[in-house]
Formats: sequence, C-alpha cells, structure tokens
Amino acid sequence: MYNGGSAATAAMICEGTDMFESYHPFVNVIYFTGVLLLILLCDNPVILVLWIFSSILFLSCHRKKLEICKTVLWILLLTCGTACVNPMISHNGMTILFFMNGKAVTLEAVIYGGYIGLLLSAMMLWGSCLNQVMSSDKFIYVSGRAMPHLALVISMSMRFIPLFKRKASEIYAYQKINMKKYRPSYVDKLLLGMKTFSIVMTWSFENALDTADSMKSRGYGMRKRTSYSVYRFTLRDAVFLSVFLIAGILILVLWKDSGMNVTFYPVFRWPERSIGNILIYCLCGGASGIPWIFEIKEKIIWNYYRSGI
Amino acid sequence: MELLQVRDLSFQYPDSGRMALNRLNFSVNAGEFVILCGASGCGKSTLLKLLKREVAPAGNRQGEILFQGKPAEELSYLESAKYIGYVAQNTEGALVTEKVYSELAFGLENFQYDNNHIRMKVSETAISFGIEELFHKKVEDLSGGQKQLVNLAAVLVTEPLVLLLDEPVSKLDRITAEEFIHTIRKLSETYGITILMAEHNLEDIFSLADRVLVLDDGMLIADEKPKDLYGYLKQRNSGDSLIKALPSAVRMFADRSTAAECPLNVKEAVRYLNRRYNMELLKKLDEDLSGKRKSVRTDNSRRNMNSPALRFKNIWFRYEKNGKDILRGAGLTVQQHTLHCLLGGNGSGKSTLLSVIGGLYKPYRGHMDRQSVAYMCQTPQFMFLKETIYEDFLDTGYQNGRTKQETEALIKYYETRLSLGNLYHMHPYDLSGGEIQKAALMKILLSQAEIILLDEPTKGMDAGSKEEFGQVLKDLILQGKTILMVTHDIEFAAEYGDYCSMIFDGEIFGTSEPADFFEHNTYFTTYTGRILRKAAGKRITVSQGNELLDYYEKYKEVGI
Repeated sequence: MYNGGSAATAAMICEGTDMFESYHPFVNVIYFTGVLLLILLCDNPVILVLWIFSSILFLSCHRKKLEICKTVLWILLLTCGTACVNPMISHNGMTILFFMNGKAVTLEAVIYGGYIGLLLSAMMLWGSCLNQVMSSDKFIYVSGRAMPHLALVISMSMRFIPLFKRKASEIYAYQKINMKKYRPSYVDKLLLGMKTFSIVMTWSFENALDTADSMKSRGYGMRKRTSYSVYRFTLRDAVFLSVFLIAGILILVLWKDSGMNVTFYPVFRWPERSIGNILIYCLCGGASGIPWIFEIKEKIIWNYYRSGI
Repeated sequence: MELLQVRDLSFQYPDSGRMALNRLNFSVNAGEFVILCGASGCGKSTLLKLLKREVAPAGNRQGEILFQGKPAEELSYLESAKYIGYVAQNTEGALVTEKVYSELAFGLENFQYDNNHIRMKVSETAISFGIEELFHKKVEDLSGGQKQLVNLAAVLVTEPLVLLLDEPVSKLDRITAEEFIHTIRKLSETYGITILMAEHNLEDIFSLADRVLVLDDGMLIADEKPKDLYGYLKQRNSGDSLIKALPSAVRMFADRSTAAECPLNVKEAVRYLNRRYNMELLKKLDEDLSGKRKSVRTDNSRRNMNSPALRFKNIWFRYEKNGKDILRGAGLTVQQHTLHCLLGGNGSGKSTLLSVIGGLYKPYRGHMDRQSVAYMCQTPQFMFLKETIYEDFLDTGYQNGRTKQETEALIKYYETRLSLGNLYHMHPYDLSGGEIQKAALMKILLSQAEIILLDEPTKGMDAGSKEEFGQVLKDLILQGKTILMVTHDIEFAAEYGDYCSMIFDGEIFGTSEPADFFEHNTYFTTYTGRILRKAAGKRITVSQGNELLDYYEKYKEVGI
C-alpha cells in the first residue's frame, strides 16, 4: 500500500470518514508544506524526533510491519553514517574525543552529524507520508487549479506510461518466442530490447495520432478549458485548516524568543525548560501527530460502530 | 426531419489515384439507427471521419454535407464538437486521461462547464451506462469491453445529436460485443439517439437497424431496410462477400421466404422454423443426411491419430510466486496437420497458454513435447520493424540464416496462397486488418516452424477476409503445417477448425470435432447452431443448415 493507486483506493474506502486522506487536497498540501517548513526552521533534536516518530506511526497504519522495521533500520544507518562523516569534515567544537591524522574529532561534530542525519530522515519520511496521502488525482487537481493544461498533461502521462509498458512487454514476448536461439546471449537480449523499443515507439506515434483525434473531436483546443474535480471544500476542511494554521503561527511566534534553538558549536547546549518551551513541544507533537491520530481515531470509531452492528 | 444529409460527396486522398468515396447521396433522419457496412477498405471509416469535421482527413473533397439543413462548414466549433459525437475504432488511443471520471469529464471541461454542471452530467451518464463501479478506476485497469463503454460514455456526456460509431465491437470478444450492442440498442430504442454505425459483422445488429447502407469500393450500392437488403443485393448481382456478411438467419431463410417474412435474427428464425417446418421430419432427414456422410468423416478424422505435433499434460503456471494459478493442470494433444481451435472467454488463460507453449514462460509443473513453434501475436503490427513489409520478410529470412535468393524463393512459394503482391512496398501501419494478418502469417511461414500459434487472428476481419484467411489456413495444413489457434470467433472455428477445445479456468477440455463440440452447447455456439439446435444440433454452419433445408424442401416436393 504505498503507490499512488492504492492511496486512491484507500481514499475511496475512507470517503466520508475523517481520515487525513479524505480531506481536501489543498488542506493536505498546505499541511505538508507547513510541516516541511517547521522541520527546516526549528533546530531542535527533540522536536525532530517527535516529527520522525509521528511519521512512522502514520506509515505503520498503511504499510507492512517488515517494511516499517526496514525504514527504522535505514534511519539509524543514515544517522550513524552522517554522525561518522561530519567529524571528518568539520573540526569545530570544544570536547575533543581523539585525534585522527592530526585533526581533532569532536563530540559536537558527531552530534551535529547525527542531527543532520535525523533531519534528512525526517524530510524523507514526510515525503513518503505525502506520497501516501496525495494520490495522482490530488496532484492533478492542485496543479489544475493553477494550470489546467499542466493537469491534463500529467493525467495523460499517467495514462500513457502503463499503456506503453504493457505494449512493450507484449512486443518483447512476441519477439522472444519467435527468436530461434534457445539461450540468447547478452548481445541478443540487447538487440531484442532495441527492436522492441523501436516498434513500441512507432506504435506510440500511431496511437498518439488517434488520441489527438479523440481529443479534437471532443472539443479540445477551441478555447480555455475548465478542470473538473471530485473534491469539495467543506466546513470540516476549513476548521482543520484554521486550527493547523493557528497552531503553526503560534509555534513560530513562541519560538522566536524562546531560545528553543539548540546550539551545537562550540558546546552542545539544551534549551532551558520553561512553560513556553513545553507548550511548543506539545504544539509540535500535536501538529505532527494529526495524520496518525486521525487514523487511529477512525479505527476506534469504526470498531465501535461495527460492534454496535 | 433530416438530421444529416450527404449530397454528391466524393473524396480522394492526396497522392492516391483512386476515389476513396464516389458521389455518395444519403440522409439520416432524427432518431434513426443506420448501419454502414461493407468490406474493410471500402471507405466506411473515411466517410465517418468526413462527417466529423474535427477528424476529417486531408484530401480532395467534393459535394456537400448538411447538418440540420445547414452546411457542416457553417457550424461553429462549439456546435460541431458538441452535436456530432464520434467514437473511433482505436479504443486504446481514444482514451485520453488516467481515470475514468476524468475521461468522462474531458469533453465537458473543453466546453468550459463549471464543476457542478460537470458533476451532474458525469454522474447521470455513469448511472445510465452502468459504469458507476468503474468511476474511480484507472482506465488502464479496465477490460476491453469496459474501455469501449467508457469511450462511448465519454462521447455521450456532451449530448450529441448524432452518434458516429466506427466499428465499435470489432476488437471485442463475442460475449462482450453482445453486451456492447445491447447498450447501443438501448441508446437507440430507449433514448432515441440518432446513430450511424460502421460495422461489418451484422449478426447481432442487423435486426435493430432502420436502414442499412452498403459501401463497395467507395460507392454507395445499397440504401435499404434490413428486410429488403438481401433481395436487393441478389437482384443487383453483388459479390458473394457482401451476402456472406449478412446474418446467418438471413442467409438461411431469405431464399425460402418473402422479404417481409424473412427472419433477421435468431429469435425470428427459430419462430419461422417452428411455424413453417415439421420439426420431426427435419430431425429424421438430418439423421438420413448425416448417416450418408458418416463413413467418409470417420475415415477423415483417423488420418493422423498417432502423430501429435504438440502434446502437453498437467501444465501448471502462475506469474508470481504468491499469485493465482493461471493454468491449472492444462493438457492437450494437437494432431499433426490439423487446425485446432481453442475457445474460451476473457481471462481463461488463453494467451498465457500460448506464451507457455511458445516457451516464453516455464510451467512450474507438467510436461510438454513439441515441434518447432512460431507465434503470431494479437496485434500483428508489432511483428514488423522495417519501412516496408518486403524488407521485413528479407530480414526474417536473414535472421533464420537464409540468403536473399532463398528467402525470395520461399516468398514466391507461399505467395500463391497469400496473394500479397501489391502490398509488398507498403508500411505495415498502412495495411488493413485482413492484409496485415496475411503479411504477419507470411512472416511466420518464413521461419519454417512446424507449428503455428495464432492469437485471435480473425479479430476485426470482415466476412470476405475471414473466408480468404480460412482458405489460407486450410492450404497450409495440406502443406503439412499444424495450427493451434486461440479464438473467440465461434463461427470461424466451426467453419474451418478440425478440432475444437474449450479452455476455462486454466483447464482444457471437450476436445472434439466442431460438430460434436458445439452440439450440446446452448449459448456458446454458432448462430446456425442456435437456430437449428432443436432440429439438428450437429449442423453449425450456414452451409450445413442450408443443405438440410434444401433436402427438406426437395423431400416435400417429391413427397407431395
């Protein structure tokens, strides 16, 4: 369950429910943009871990356990990797661990490296959350608002690519069956691939002419077109959006003079503990948790209703 | 009221010495269902395209096309695109967008309707044509019949006044085609939409039509009611191939009844048969006739019993490790020098089986003995790579380790059967359905394999080409080839097959001669079979049916 198609099916299943996917595409896009901005703006390992934790929780609602374990392992590897590499490049910091090739390896550089690893992981994890939530339909819709023709081009490519692949495999199959040699060499296979490509290209051009005819005969190209969508902006979307925006602005305002930004060099220092800071942690945790909280909430409600039936 | 009028329409493609359309005159009234038939290459598609301005081919056009009494050129872009709906032959190419709902909305978006209007229209259309289930699906995931349905709905969504259909069912299998025709019938009878439909297979639609236009080599040779068409063509002494295109019921009973009484479909034919013929006598005469022929036939079928060209047993195959089994213990013996037809519906594993026999995939269980194999795929265009088909033939020869002279000799040898003479220097994409099939067959023959595997070769062929193709296959068998053919085309299998087998749910069974194979089938049988089922179940082709009816009439005459 991680490509665009299954995301769309999932969106269909949860239509009418309150899952994050079922919200208006604009809400999804604004949320994810906000999240990426906050991740980049807030220099704080605790908050970063909160973001990562939330995204993993959300992904685990949709993907297999094995995959999630792999993802976690992968994050650890990346973090260790950057934690090892950074000290080789950066020699700032007061706490010297040891010398290598006459250069100091500092604790601060290791921590900063690890932090960068976490930052990259967080970005990538939220990227795959985005992929999970935003089906191709939603992308097309969002781009269609601004540029209807771009939306059509995306939609047409999404139609054409699988068609092209299917035809190519049909041609390849035919060519391979009719090949005389029983065990083809690499050169044979290469030639076969080139042949297939050439045939499928010819076919594509012929097919494109028919597509152009079909578009023209349905009135394409006479004047500007509108862009139809199956999405509606409802009160629920408005409420969600305003709550999220207020929370985001609040985080940024509180952050400004809070000293929440961690300093890495010359000495690593945690920010002070104050009520304001704890509030920021809570807000960030809440904002990052929206997708999985919605998911879990729906599951509980669904179970409750079902047991009622 | 005349919705569409064509006056003295002639058309010539650039660089072609031939008139594609020659002085056509006809009109289509509002609410009519008109069929445009004729052999492939007669100008059906050209005519339909000329009627739809947006897709009209370039060339020299003379004459007038009037839409609602107004020259078609005077229509605004909007009117032209909206009022004349056109469904093209190439379904895959006609579908533009990724999702079904966006495909339905496409035309309306072009007309700048707002979201609410589009939503209403799209849902109305989806409900009326039973594609609600498909609404959120990807176009790529649909079956052929569903794609065609979406294609039709996407045109109908803009409420055209006249619908032009270019062979909408020629690429569909029998059952799906029947369903699609049901939809067209609904359009005509329930919604009163004016339809002009090009089609060469008239079996299911003939009785639904108000009028039939027959094109022959660019000329309109008939514009008749279905009842009168047979008489008209007979009287005009038109070619046999035009008569062959008519439904089985007409071909069997038209000569034995008046035009007004002539049955046009299976239902009418069964009623006519029961009213006019003594069923008991028919049964008895059928037994008489079959008894005479039996001795000859058993002799014939014993000819190669002990030398199979291809034999496999208990073949199991699946595409993925955890996937579903596509072939589940399939087994078949194909005798040498026979045409063996494998019949079955969509998703029965037919094409997969051919790929396994061809050696593309290895079955995970089972055993197979076979001679050398050549395979012809469903889209014969895919087999050609060069600019002309002749270059491609020479290349095939070269690939098989033959010199140019040897290949040319081989081409000459098969030439007498395939008659490709004037096509050698054409581009594969410029050939018609029947022509490209023959060219592909030639290419296969050049590889000199013993067994030829054909995947739905008669798809989209008109009656004339089918007959020619069937004769070619028969000739090849006499020359010592063995042919295994996967097909939906029951009529073709009944007419030309030596053996038929059913493939269903990954298994193969019921292997026998066509007459025995279809005898017990009520639904999955030829049109003649359906008409004569009660009287003579073994008679499955029109000629067999006519033989019995002729005998009956002779008996009656003599008897009286």
